[in-house]
Amino acid sequence: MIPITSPYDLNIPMTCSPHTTPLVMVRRALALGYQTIALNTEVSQNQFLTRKQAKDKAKNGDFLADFPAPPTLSLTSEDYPLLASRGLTPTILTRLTISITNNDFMIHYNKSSIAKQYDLLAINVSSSPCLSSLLKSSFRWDILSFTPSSVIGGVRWTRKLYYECVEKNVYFELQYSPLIRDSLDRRRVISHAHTYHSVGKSRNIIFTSEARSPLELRSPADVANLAWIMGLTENQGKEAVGVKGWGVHKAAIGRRMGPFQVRVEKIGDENFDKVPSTPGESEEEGDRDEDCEPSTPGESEEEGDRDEDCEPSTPGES
Amino acid sequence: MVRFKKRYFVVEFERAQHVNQSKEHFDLEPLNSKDIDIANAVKDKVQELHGDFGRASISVGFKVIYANTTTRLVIIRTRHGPHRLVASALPFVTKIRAEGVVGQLLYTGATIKHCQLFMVRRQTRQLEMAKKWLANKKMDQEKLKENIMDIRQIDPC
Repeated sequence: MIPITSPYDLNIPMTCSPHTTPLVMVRRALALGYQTIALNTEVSQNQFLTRKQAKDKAKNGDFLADFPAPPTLSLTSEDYPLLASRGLTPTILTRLTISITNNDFMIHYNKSSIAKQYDLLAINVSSSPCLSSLLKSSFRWDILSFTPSSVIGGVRWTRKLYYECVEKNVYFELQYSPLIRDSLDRRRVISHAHTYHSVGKSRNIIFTSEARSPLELRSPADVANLAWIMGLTENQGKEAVGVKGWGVHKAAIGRRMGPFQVRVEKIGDENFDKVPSTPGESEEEGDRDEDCEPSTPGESEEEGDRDEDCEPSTPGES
Repeated sequence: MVRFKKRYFVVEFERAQHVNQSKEHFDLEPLNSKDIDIANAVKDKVQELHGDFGRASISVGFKVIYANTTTRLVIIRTRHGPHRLVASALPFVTKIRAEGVVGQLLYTGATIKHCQLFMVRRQTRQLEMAKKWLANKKMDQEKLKENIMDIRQIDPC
């Protein structure tokens, strides 16, 4: 069971202002009252080399061979006196945000082992066809982000599209630092937030900072009060800083674990010692069929793969 | 007659310079502003975000006082209803009389009594932190306690 460690701030960028460092940002966030923080590494699909670009090595550009490694941050109890006085420790997560234009980024993502080390995965989508094709694929991610400059001419939200994302346990991020930085970005983010309200009733919304300097960070109570501007109710605003962040964390852990399979075995002398000794667990012989493994979708079944003795038992049949 | 409900916000304004500094130090310097300057800053921000409607809505029953100048603790009183407009504007107040500040909402109360209880508890914690940080410096402990624990009351009417 993953404990709730609210309040959450799931977007503190690693590329912060030159006058500060991520450690200072984290210290400031913890001093304001946050307990769980995610350090965000941002990459773009355009930064990854295609085969053609790899051949043409004369091309200069900001290209990456592989995803950057997840950042590590070591904190002592002096860095979080507020939490330490309550006997708590902060939770520092790592987040990867990929800005995509089409599904080709999956080629680089799937073959990278480093990308899968991140705790949270966020996607920044630029258009509706891109999002629709991503939803049709089997790709799973946790947070859907946006940049204020891409609000106009970006994703054309519909209720169907919104709820398709909700069903896949995707959470929608609303960043509050652009509201503080620039008045034009403020209008764009607020209009986007109201779009989420009109198409999706502001379900699965989380508030994050995306703060580039410690001055742009605000306390959880202040962030929850921004719900009024963003078209959320008071309760939704509080949840956006608290419980929904917990939901993102749980969904991310579930995504990384993958689908579960269950193996059913008949208890015999050879495996009797493997039976757990927890009281209340009763297992009658014959109820379970040995070697009966449910097939996963997509698994090809050749002759001999199926067990002839494996018949689903009807209830009551011993 | 139904009562006029109010909301009291307990806000601490930190200097932007102090927030930007990576070194830890305890700031006991008051801001270079008065109650009226903070009130004008908040009202201007409400007008910027919510327009003339917002500014007019909060004007009745709106009052700001410095509860403690040493720790820059401020109480803002508004009517219940328009208090949401003020609460949503507080994170955007970044300048008070040309001095860069960052506001932090500490407590929202419906009565002065509970705000007072909260402020006394907070100031006691602040006093302990101040004593710890300023242990090496020669400072009059009694004067420090008097400065930090002096909490001004806001008029309930």
